[in-house]
Amino acid sequence: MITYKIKIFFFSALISLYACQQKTLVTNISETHIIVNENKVDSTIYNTISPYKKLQDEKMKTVIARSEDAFLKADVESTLGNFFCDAVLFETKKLLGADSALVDIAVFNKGGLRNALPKGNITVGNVFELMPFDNELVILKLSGSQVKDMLNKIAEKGGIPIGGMTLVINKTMASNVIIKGKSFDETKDYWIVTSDYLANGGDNYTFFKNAKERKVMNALLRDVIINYCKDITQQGKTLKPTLDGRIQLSK
Amino acid sequence: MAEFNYQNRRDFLKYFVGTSAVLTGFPALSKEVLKSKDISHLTILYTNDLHSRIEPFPTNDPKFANMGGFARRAAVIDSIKKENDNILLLDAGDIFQGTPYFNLYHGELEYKLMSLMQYDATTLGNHDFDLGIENIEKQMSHANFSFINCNYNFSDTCLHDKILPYKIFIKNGIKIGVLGYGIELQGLVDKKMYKNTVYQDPLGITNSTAKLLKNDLGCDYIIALSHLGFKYEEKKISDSSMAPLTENIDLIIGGHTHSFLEHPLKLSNKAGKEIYVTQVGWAGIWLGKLDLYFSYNKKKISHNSNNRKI
Repeated sequence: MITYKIKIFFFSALISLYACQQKTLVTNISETHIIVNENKVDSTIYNTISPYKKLQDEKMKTVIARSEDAFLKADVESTLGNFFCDAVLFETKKLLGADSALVDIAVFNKGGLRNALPKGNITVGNVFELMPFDNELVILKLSGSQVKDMLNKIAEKGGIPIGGMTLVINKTMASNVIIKGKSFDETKDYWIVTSDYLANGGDNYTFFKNAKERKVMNALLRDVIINYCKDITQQGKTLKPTLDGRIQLSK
Repeated sequence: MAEFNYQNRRDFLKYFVGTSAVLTGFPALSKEVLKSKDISHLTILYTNDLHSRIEPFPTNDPKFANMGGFARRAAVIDSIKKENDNILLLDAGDIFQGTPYFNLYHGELEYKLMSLMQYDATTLGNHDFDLGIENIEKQMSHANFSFINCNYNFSDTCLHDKILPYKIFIKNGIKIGVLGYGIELQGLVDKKMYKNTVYQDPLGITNSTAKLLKNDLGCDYIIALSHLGFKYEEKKISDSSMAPLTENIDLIIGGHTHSFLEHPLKLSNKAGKEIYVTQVGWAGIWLGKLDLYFSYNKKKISHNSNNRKI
């Protein structure tokens, strides 16, 4: 009988100890996600947005170009990346005027292109969403060996937005590099157009940091894209998404 | 007599083993059980990487046409509140940047709307620094929710007294500890934007903060708001790589990588206990919802069952 009491005492102590440490216990978890696409809106939130929206729409709704199809992001080579780099290269040459032959290549980053462009009307707002950052256009003079570092980083990343050159990715090495119609020459210097963000080593683009020369173009990247859209429209053309095999994976 | 004790002990074990089996995900509890006074139901709602997506994506958007939007999310939250008003509404950072609303108003509208929606807390993402650390401070005047981060040292910045390392929310008797941490800013954000903010490795600080919340402050459930990213191919700290090294955290609500996770990832932490990692894409296209059922007043239940069995 004594044994029994002791056992019960021990038993109760154990329970109260447990109860004390864990006064609450998760007994059940259920999770879900809700896709937000219903038309029901909260009127307070809607009304708060209204005055902001009105002013924003006035500034953003201007149509600056038409596109034949949507421009999208992709892994190796993308229609959005090609468009962006070609547009920047075209406008940079325009800004450089007599020195337009100077720039060879445009190099950007996937993460910097923030949204796709739709099929049909392209508005100022669309370009703001593609390039919301107030990044500036910068041109950099890189030595051949610095370019080589850059090319291998491009390969390592499995392709990034580029313009003015073509290359083949062989695992983590770049090969068959053609710049302005000529094979890449490691003994030569090259001029590259990019953003001040990447030129400062953003997104870990360390290969830009020790550039031999650097020129700030005093133009916002976003404005450059807006100008390109306007230029194409002025020529009576539409924007056309293209993949031209500028980056290929070796088989 | 011996048999009697054995019986009790077996029932005792069965009871607790049974409860821990429920821990790992049992079918939904019956309505009677949910109505019981001993059960507390908490709904955690969450977003990440809202990126200034005030309005739904336009109808011509190639990927997300007509999805998202603050006014719609608010309507969804309103309807959830009608079912259960015991709610914690959280965000994992990158509220700023992505639509002209941010270019024009610098985040004022985002914070105002989240305050009206009664968000409880957020952590800071790298893009929240896009117009500089002073802009965060300036826009915080429009926010009535908490900013939580424990791995950025702000002591030499304008945010030195504005960011909490953690916050405890008491919901229907349940103590929820929320901590937060962010990604390495160098290489991702221009230094002139984050100024003298010092990034510290999140693991050690997170574990000591979670230990404080659990052991010293008696939290029943601990949530981490993380802006590290879900997973990387390269060797880089992420929610997936860090979760198994943590202790005392029950749930990581992540951001940065814009990962649409159909279901939270269930992992084991350093102590072998389960930890959930979740993330709901970006731009408010999804709203995350996690329902937790706590049994509390455990002492009484144990006492009752003890009495009954003896």
